[in-house]
Amino acid sequence: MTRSHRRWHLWLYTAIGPLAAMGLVLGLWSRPTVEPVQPSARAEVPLQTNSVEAKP
Amino acid sequence: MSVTYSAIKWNHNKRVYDAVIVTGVVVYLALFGLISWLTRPAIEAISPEVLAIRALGTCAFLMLHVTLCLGPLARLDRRLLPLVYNRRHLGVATFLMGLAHAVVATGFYHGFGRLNPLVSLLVSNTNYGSLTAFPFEMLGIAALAILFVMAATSHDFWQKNLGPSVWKGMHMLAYPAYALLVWHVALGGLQSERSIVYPAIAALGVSIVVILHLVVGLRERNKDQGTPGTLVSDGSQWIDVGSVDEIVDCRAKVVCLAGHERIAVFRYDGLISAVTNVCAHQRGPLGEGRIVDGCITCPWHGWEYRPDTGVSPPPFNERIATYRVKVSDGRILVDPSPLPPGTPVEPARSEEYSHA
Repeated sequence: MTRSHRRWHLWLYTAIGPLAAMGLVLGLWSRPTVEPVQPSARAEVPLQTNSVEAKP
Repeated sequence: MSVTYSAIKWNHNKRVYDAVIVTGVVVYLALFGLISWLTRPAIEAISPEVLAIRALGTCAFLMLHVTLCLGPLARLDRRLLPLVYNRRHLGVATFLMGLAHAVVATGFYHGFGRLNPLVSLLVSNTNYGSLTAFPFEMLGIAALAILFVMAATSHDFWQKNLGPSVWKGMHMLAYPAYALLVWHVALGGLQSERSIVYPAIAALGVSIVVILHLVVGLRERNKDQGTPGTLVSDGSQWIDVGSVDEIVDCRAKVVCLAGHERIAVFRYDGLISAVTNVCAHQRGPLGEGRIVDGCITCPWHGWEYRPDTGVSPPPFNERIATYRVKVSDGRILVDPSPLPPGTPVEPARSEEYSHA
C-alpha cells in the first residue's frame, strides 16, 4: 500500500471502530426488558380457565 | 494477472481455497442448527425458517469478520499471507450468504401479506425515531448493497479498468458496511435474544476487528515515521539503508524513509536491485515477497516484475518505479528519488563486498 493509503486506512479504522462499538452498546442498552414469570403466580391460575367446555 | 477478460482464472490454489470456504459454510450451518436444537429450551423453540435466517445471517457476519481480519493478521504474521491470495472469493461468498439471509427473512416476514414483499419490507416500519423499534432491516439492506457492488467489481477486469486507487478506495467501503451490519445486528437480532451468548460473541467479534486494525494501523504509521537510513556524508543524495549481509538471498529489505514511499531492496544472484514496495495490481507489499524464477513475486496475488527494470515479464506490461542503487564497503546505498516506472537500472554487485 502507498503511504497515503495507509494513513487513510488508519483514519478510517479510528472512525469506524467507535461507530461500530457504539452501535453494539446502544443496541444492547435499548433491549426491551422482560419481566420474569413467577412460578407461584402461574400455579394460582385455575385450571378450568384454559379448559374447553365439553360440547353437549 | 490478466490482460483480457475471463470469468475466473482457475488454478489449484483457488480450487482448494474455494473448497475450504464451501466446506466451512456447510459445517457452520450444520453446527448452528444442531447446537440451536440441542441447547434451546422447548419453550423457546423457533421455526425452521427463523433458524435458517439466523444461521445464514450469523454465517455471513462471521465470514465478514474473517475477511476483514485477514489483512491485518497477514501484516502481523507473514505465514498467513496465502490466505489473502483469494480473499475476494471469500468476500463474494460473504455477499451470497448475506443475500440468502435477506431473501429468506424477507420471504418469511413479508411474503404472506397483500403487499409485494419488497414494498412491505421498505414501508412496514417507519419508526426511525425509535431506537428500540428502529427499522434495522434498512441497515442490512444498505450493507448488502455495498457488498453487492464490491462483489460485482471484485474481478481483475474492473480493477484494471477502474485503476488500483479507485478500485481499492471503493473496496474500502467494506468497513462502513461492517459498521452498518453491527448496527443491524444490535438493533435487530440481539433485541429479541435473551441469552448473553449472542451479545458476548458479537462484542468479541467487534473488539477483535477494531483492535486488530488499530494496532496494525498504528504499527504501520510508526514504521512510516522511522528513518533507518542515514544520509551519506559526501554531500550526495545517496542514503545508507544497511548492510548487504542483512538481506537473505532472493528476499528483500523494506526501507521506510520519512517522507518517501517504502522501497524494497532485493538481493539475488549476487546482485542488489531496488524497486518501490507498492505492487501495481492492488498495492501489495512487494518487499514481503521473494524472487521466483528471476522475478519479484508479490505475496498477495503473485504479480511478477523484473528486479532490474520493474517491468512484468511478457505478455504482461505492468510497470513499477525503480531506484538507483550501489554497494560501497558492504553497505547498500539507495537514491530515494523514484525513477519513472519501468526504468532499467544497472543492479549493484553484492558478492565482492559481502561477508557471507
